[in-house]
Amino acid sequence: MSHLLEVDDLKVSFHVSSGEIQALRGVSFHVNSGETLAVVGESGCGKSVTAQAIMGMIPSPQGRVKEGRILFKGQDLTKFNKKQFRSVRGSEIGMVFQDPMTSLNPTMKVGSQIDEVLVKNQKLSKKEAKQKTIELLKLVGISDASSRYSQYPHEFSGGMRQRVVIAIALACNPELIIADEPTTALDVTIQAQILELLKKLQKERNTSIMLITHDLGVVAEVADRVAIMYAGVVVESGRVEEIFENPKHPYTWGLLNSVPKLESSEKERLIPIEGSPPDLFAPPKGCPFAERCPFTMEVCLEHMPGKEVFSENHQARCWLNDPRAPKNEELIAAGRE
Amino acid sequence: MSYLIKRLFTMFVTLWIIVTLTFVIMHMIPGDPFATDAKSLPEEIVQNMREKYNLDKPLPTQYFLYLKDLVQLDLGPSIQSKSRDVNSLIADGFGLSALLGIQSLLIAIVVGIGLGVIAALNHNRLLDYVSMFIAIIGISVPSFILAPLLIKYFAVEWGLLPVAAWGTWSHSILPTIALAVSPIAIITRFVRASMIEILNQNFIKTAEAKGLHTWEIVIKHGLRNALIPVISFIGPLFAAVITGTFVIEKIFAIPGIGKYFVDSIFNRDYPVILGTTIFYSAILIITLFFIDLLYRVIDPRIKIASGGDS
Repeated sequence: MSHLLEVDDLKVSFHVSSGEIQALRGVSFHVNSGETLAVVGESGCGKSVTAQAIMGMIPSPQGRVKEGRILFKGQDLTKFNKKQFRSVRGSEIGMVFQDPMTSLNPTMKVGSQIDEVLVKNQKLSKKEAKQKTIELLKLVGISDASSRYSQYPHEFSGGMRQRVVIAIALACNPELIIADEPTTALDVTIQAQILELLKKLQKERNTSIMLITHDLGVVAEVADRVAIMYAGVVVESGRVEEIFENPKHPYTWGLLNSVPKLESSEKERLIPIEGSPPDLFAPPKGCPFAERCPFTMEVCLEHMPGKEVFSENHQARCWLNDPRAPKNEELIAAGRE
Repeated sequence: MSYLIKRLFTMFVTLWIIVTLTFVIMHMIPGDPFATDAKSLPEEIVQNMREKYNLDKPLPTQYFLYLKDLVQLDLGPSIQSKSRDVNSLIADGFGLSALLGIQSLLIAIVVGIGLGVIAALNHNRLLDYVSMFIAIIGISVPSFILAPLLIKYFAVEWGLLPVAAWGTWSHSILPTIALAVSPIAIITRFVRASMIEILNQNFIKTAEAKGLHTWEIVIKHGLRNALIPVISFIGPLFAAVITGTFVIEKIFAIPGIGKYFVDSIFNRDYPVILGTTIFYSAILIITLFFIDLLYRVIDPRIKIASGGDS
């Protein structure tokens, strides 16, 4: 079965005056139609750059795709020129940004900002666009849509604005929506509403969602599959149950340990992952997590681990899973706890 | 509505303060209108002249007499240009100065915004450097150098345009260009800086993700936001430019009001100093008022009802 979106060994670098930042160092994952893939990782791991690469919005001329392919419906987006990208953006791939407070044009009526996509990509007349926009506003749960249509963003709350941003992304019925930390800037109750909305819309329209987040709570809530990124590579990916119940990479263990658990009655300390991610100016030649990993072996410092496949969907890049690795199950079990 | 009333009130207070300060400072300058003529004129005549212009009275009296006339919009007689009053000096000269000023400002706005946007879109690339080079030249070459150069080539050598003086519209072309260059440069720099900032905003990324063309993004999303800070600067520029410039009017022999600003101070022509200053201030105050109204049109986040401090 072919995937809706397939990112294959994607390498992206930024050239700055002090050298080359290797932001993505061979990222591979895929999104099937109708499913939600969560891309998880800490700040600077390359989540957003991946999204930018898919949208063709990597800041040029500093940044560029060095290697790899991004197959969207079988077409390689890395080969697209500006014009081809414009035909994909907004119509086939919609994007929801992190900060709803700044993602809308402050001097343009909210309705017009949605109209614009429809007029551009679906060649609707102004009048048809307005009608469809009002429907969209209702769809994303904005009451009194027809009077809201001619208001400005500053008259909307943060959650409302994010609904508008989602309406923009949805307007042309795209097959894929990339949501880059769509709930990070919102407070918790609003977060839940926005996630509910995304889930509901996805069900109704069979849209695929690539959800970028660093919040494992959000992942558990909405994702079908998860890709864990670290220092510009995907270190583990799998179905959400597999990742939460049977994680195979020490970084994933670390992430799971750093989330508060509801069932623990005692005052339990959260366990942070010590240290900080490697410098992407000069990434280590071995496993990028080796420096922070409690199970580092000699091989980890020298060689990048290959992919170990555990099931159809579940794979991880860690030497511990190599058949030659010492069977220190006890240690590993301890690490997971 | 209460905003407008409040605003009008402050405008008058501002103007009154300006009148008072100008009056005080003007009389602090040593010398008086008849200083140069004093030696050639008999004592009695000077005395008579001083009486005619109320200069023999104590300063507070002079001040109140002036205010009384001013309320009736009478700016008094000119001491230097006998038999003319300041009202007619301004009325005659202002039309020309304003025409020149408005022409050059329109050119400056169009060219300045154009160059600024081009520079911002090509940030740190060749076209940016070219635009900034033009802007630096425009700011650093003074108009008294540029104007003679324009005259030399366009009028004298190529004979395309009249050298100087005032007559047909073609007479206004060279002074308009000479007057526009520095505002072009300033507006270019402002628009560039503001546009670069706006183009880095998140909503520009949203617009990009909509699949819009670059020029659609710039015009529909960038420009309106980028112009908000620029407008506050265009206000004073407008007031400065339509009230004439001494240098340009002198070089092109244009009978505008620009020269009165300078001449009147040298001659201690008190009524003209006050008259031109008040006129300039009034224009500036009114322009700023309209700029504020314009802000409210361009930026929906500012509401008139909120009294102006939002």
